[in-house]
Amino acid sequence: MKRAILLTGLYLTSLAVGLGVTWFVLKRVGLEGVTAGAWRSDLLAGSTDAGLYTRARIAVNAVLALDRGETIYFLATHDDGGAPLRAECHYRLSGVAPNAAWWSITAYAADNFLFPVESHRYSISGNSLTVAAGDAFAANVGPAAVDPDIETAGIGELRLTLRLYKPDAALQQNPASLRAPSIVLAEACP
Amino acid sequence: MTGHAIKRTPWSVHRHLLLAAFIAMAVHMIAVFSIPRLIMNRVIDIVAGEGSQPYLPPPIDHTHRRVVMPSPDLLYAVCAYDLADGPLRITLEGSYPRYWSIALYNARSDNFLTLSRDDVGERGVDVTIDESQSTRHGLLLMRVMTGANPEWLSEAKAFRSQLRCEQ
Repeated sequence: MKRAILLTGLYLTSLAVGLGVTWFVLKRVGLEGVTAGAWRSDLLAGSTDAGLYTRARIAVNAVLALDRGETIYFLATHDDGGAPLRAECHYRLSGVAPNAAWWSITAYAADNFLFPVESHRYSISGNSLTVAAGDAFAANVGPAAVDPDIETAGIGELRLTLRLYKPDAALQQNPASLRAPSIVLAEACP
Repeated sequence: MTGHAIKRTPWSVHRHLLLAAFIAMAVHMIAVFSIPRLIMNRVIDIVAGEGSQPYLPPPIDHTHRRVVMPSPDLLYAVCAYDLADGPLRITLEGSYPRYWSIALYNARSDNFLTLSRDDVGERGVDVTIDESQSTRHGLLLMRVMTGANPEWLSEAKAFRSQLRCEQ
């Protein structure tokens, strides 16, 4: 009887380990691909050439992504110093508007949905900042108290997604050449 | 019949541990393989109730919790299709002076075709999809850039309303 209970526990644990490793690999292990500053991009997102893990990771984290020829997605989960981005902290984004027909930076909570902010300040773009490709830009990201351009809410993980729609040929060829916006903590986290 | 019972020797602990490790690996691989299909099926189910005509969701805000990482700067239109009902004919008339695209995804979540303003110019879209191009079930997702600008939004809505998905 004792042996049967132990074996049942062992096999249930093996099922849990299989599912737990899957969750960890798909949610916690960073994207493969290229890096530009604090930003990472998986170049096979949306591609028919995507492998088993890339396809699963994209399905979980960004289902319905477009192929790299159409759009390049960069994700940042850490600031320039390597510290994890937090929704309760105030960050300064700055850089040069990328060479793409259109671009945006959007903040997401840990569940990959928009923060519940009534101001609707979910994102910035070349349009909202009125900057052309090559122009310098700066923006604040953080809770309402800092009057941010991109507003967060609550406490927990913060993810920033940079979308480049119709990037120019040089960026398509070599996404790592992106002059990546810097992400710097503007003041100590509360 | 000799009447002798066959006595089975219980498996050793090592055998059970090996089998448990194999099960863990198998569960992991099956999950990784199945997840894109399960998620796509779920997404397709969400919009399939709208029939073959496009589902036209309202502009994105934080109450939108159907599909992860929605862009608040885009207006979307979605058609779910089942090619068992025949080829899918996609038409879109008119033009829009900002970024827009129509992307098609198969049941494995692969983006197998994208049409955009740069591809079709002012001609509009008239494309037919059959089983040589897609899995039986699939999804069309149209993106129209609004930049969260109210004036652009009304133009984008008018343009989006021209999309047709017919079978």
